[in-house]
Amino acid sequence: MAVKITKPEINVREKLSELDKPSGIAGEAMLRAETPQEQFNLIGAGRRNILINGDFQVSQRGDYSSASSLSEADYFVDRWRTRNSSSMTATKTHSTRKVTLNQTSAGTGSIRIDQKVEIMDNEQYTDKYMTLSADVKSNDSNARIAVYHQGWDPNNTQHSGSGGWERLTLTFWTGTLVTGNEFSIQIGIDGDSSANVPIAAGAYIEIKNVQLEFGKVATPFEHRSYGEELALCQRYYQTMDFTGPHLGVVIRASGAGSGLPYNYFGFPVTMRSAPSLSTSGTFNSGSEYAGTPSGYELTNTAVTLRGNNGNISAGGSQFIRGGSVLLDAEL
Amino acid sequence: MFNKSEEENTIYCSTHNQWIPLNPANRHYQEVLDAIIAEGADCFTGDIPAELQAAADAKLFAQQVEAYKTASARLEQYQLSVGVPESSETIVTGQVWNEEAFEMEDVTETFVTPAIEPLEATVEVTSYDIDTDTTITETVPNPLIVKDDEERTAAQDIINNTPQAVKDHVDGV
Repeated sequence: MAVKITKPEINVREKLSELDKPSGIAGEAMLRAETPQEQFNLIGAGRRNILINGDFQVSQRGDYSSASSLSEADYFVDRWRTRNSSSMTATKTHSTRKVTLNQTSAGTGSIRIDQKVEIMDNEQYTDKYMTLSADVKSNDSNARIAVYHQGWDPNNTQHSGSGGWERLTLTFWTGTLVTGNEFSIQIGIDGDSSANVPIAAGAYIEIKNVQLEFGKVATPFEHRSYGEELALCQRYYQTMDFTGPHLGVVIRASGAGSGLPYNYFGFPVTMRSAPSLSTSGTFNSGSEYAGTPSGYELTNTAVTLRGNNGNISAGGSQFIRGGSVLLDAEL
Repeated sequence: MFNKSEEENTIYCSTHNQWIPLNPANRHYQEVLDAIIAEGADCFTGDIPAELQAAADAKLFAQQVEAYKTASARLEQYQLSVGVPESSETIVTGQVWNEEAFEMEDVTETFVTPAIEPLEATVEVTSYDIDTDTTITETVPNPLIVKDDEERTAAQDIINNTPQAVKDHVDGV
């Protein structure tokens, strides 16, 4: 028995025109990608920003909302240092997710901020393309973003000096970067290879959303939560707050005889290295208090504090109260 | 000013009221070593502890090794005012059988490195004086040679001031 099968007619020309989709170059690249990994890299998915506190959310060292003088190699908002060559008269201000540097008297030099990148091993950043990007606003055309990796990268990107916001990007080849090398990003009013430049009184630079990522393309700024950013910052700087109602206790072990009291305080986040310890504020020094504590032993996971308000008897204890202990493990 | 008490496993910096761990990864610890290198006992209250002095000595030695290597490499570059004479080198590239001598004999090839002429000792610089509307041409020492000689002198000074123990370490004596 013969079976007759019929198929609907296909207009080949119509089908071909359907294939002519309005996709751009990026869309075509996505379609051409052979693996999900390639597509992942094309869209810059995943964790991208290598810099910490790139949007200046965290400021454990204090409040910089009022303009204060700009010093050389001075840490202020977490992970960021101010740089001031030739003792320029300038100020720094930190407002919500933004840092501003302001030249108050004309001079020749450079004013900028930098962040050193921690190099964990010899493979991490060696022989890679990387891209730095930042939102910059300035009235000085020497405002620029630059990179230092075992010397100044020959390339940098300048702002137009128009007084408007511009997204500056800089792609560079890292070369050899091994543990112990300096790798830092620099943003400010500065010359080529950080040569001194004349800066007029009233010149300013405002900086937001700084990002350093692998690859040749600057992707949108990666926003992280405050809690996450704070934890990242605490690898380099932490405070122990004994102000107000916050009480610490140091003790003198029974049988140890009279002497100074001690206690062990673990850190909420393991620090980069054993930190340096300093204090701020005034610690109480009445008989039940331990006075200003000192760092008896410092490791990257904990500090042993020692009370310094005279010997106490074995088995006794004292409070630590009134000030803060500052722990610095910055690069 | 620093001091280290027997009771604490840290160094106290009275200038910054800061306790510094004995940890090479800590930047303030490195500043302590730098101060010991630069100022010696003047930066310390009491004697410098032996382990800190040893660490400072090791850091200074490493710095001197790096400086000596860099200076030596700079001096190995040819002097711009002298240039480089032509040189040749003959190397064995293989062997062939000699039928008459009944033995293998070397095949050699000579490579010639062309000379590099010295730069002109002086150059002419022309400047224009807008007030007098005159052009002045003067002969000055070649700035490339001046810079080269300055860098070579600085490198030679580093080598001259490098302790013999460092030179022996680098030169493998």
